[in-house]
Amino acid sequence: MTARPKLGATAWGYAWLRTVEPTAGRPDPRLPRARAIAHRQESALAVDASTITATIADGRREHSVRLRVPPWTDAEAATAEALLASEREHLTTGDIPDHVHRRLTAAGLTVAVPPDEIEAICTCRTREAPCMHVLATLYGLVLSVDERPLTAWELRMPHAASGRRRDPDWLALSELEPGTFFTGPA
Amino acid sequence: MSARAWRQASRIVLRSARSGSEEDAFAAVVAAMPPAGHAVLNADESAIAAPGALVREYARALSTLKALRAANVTATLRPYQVHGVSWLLQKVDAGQGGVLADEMGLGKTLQVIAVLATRQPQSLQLVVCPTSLLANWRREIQHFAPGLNVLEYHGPDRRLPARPEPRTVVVTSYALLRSDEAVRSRHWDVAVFDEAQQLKNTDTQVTRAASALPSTSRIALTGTPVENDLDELWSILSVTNPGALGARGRFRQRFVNPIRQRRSASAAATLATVVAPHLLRRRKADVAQDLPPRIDATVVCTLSPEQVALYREAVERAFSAGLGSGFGRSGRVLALLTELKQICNHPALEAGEPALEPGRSGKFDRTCEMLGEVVADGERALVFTQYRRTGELLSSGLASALRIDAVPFLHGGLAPAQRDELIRAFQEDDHASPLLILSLRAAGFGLNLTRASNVVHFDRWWNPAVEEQATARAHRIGQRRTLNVYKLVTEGTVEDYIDRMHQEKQGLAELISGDPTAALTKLPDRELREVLDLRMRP
Repeated sequence: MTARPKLGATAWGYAWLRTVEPTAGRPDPRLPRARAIAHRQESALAVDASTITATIADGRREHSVRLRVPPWTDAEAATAEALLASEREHLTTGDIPDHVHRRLTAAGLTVAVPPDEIEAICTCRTREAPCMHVLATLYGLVLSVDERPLTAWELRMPHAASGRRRDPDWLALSELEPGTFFTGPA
Repeated sequence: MSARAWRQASRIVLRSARSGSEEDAFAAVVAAMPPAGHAVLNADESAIAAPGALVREYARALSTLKALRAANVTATLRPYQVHGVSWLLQKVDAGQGGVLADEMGLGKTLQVIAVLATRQPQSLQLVVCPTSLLANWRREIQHFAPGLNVLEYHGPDRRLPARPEPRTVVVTSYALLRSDEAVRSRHWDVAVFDEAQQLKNTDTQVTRAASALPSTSRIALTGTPVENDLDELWSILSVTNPGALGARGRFRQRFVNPIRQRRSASAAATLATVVAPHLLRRRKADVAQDLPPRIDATVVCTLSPEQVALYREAVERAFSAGLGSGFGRSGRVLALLTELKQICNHPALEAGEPALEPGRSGKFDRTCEMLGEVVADGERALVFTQYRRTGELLSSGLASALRIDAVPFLHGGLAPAQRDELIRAFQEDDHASPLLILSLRAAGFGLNLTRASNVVHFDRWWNPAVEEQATARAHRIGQRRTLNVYKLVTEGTVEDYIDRMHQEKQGLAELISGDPTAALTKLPDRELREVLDLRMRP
């Protein structure tokens, strides 16, 4: 068996991992399967501001999952901003050092939100909440946050409509106006 | 509309020499430019360049061209090279570093020399390269930037002047970077690390010395695709842009493990955006429209100390025994020339040893470095030699140096069926060796080896027509890519002498038109000795 990367390698990813795999209570028997799907599917996951969308292939079916994570309150966000202010130089690589997470927790803020507080929509018909596809999406989020801890931060920021900072040097094709392509703005 | 906007932009540049309102004027152009005027797609064809970025780029390229002219750079840079110089200058001016990782043959050396030439620094500039490239760097700087002083800092009698002339570039080796206090303690303006794979291991002394080198800006040059080896990438960037990739352990957690263990596309994409501002890599295919069908380059190699001793000994021995006269003389001169050429190739050939070891021949080491990049890039190369024995030893020597199963050697002793199979395999097989060694004599007519995009002449026939015919194996109809032709010349030796004769088109007429060796046999002792004596550092 090839070694799988450790889930929750960063403090930020670990925080999310703990919400999917709480240390208390009986382990959910669906978790190994959700984890395996996440390991295969992570590229189909998109995080934009406070919304996570994913396409989860479960056997021969595909399900679309959409999660909305509640943002921090304005007061919490202000505290978080103040903590981050001294770490700006790390942010260019999308990283936030683990010690910022410790300070955040010490200030009474949580980074991750337990599944029952997340607004979740899945195209599957199971009545279980959360369904296995939502769990797989959350595992995918753990992997994605490990790669880019700033994602965990942006997910909780109110008015973070900007999501990932856009590169001002490029314009997405979807934003172009075909009518004025050759003539320019009237 | 689009054309009008760009015409406006160029007028602004022309006028800006007189008035200072360049930025406002550009802003007006940017506001009026329709998307068609700036519709340059990005790599994954999901976005086009913003007009502001494009106009800025344009203005920057023009100002770079102006700076190059002022700095008296004697080459006309291709458009992508101008962009490379602008990119590097931006880094250097901001006090940052960068990695120029263009594919081999695109002119990294020229771009960096242009950068060095446009600086007006208080302190000296530094180029660190493998020993086998010292002479090459000195010559290229002298050739492309005659306004710069070059100081080769190497050998036992090396020294750095206390009061160096302004605009001096010191060229030195990685060995000295590691051990020489004068290099390590001085403050440099721009420090260039050529063949930066030498810095691929963070824990080695040489990488630590490079990281600790006091300098305004550090630039690394490499032709191997460093982005494929993440530890190597981290190490090189830790020298040029400390901190850019974060701490090493974190880098492993975030990128190395996800990419290696589950081929994470998102981790790779994040890494690419993190690396992009610090690393510029163009492949030949990316800039094909800027490239001529064929690029010829002479690669100057340095003799190892062992080669120097052998070469001097051989010349001394021949002249003290006497070369005689008449028919006997020409035979003895030819034998001496062959011996000298063998020594330039590798001392093992002269001694009749069974293998080519690295570290003993500047030419062989340089060849391994160059072909290593060719292979890493997934390209193919033909290597020509005129000696059967050289070909045989190159075959095993290159295979072990580059960790290839076997490098085939096509020579006159092969049966026609074997030859045809070698050629077919090289042209068609996916698993065939990316390198093919050919005997210059056997590779006459009728061979079609267009899959090679690189040709290396390991030793010289000294007959341009024959070399041309060999090169034409790869450069013929059916070759759609740019062909890079490298002629290896060992500095200060008879190879160097003949090469200069060819290039300068002066001196002995016969050397240019006919067989130069025949002309050499007719020279009297004194003149012949002048040609053959080793010329260390002209």
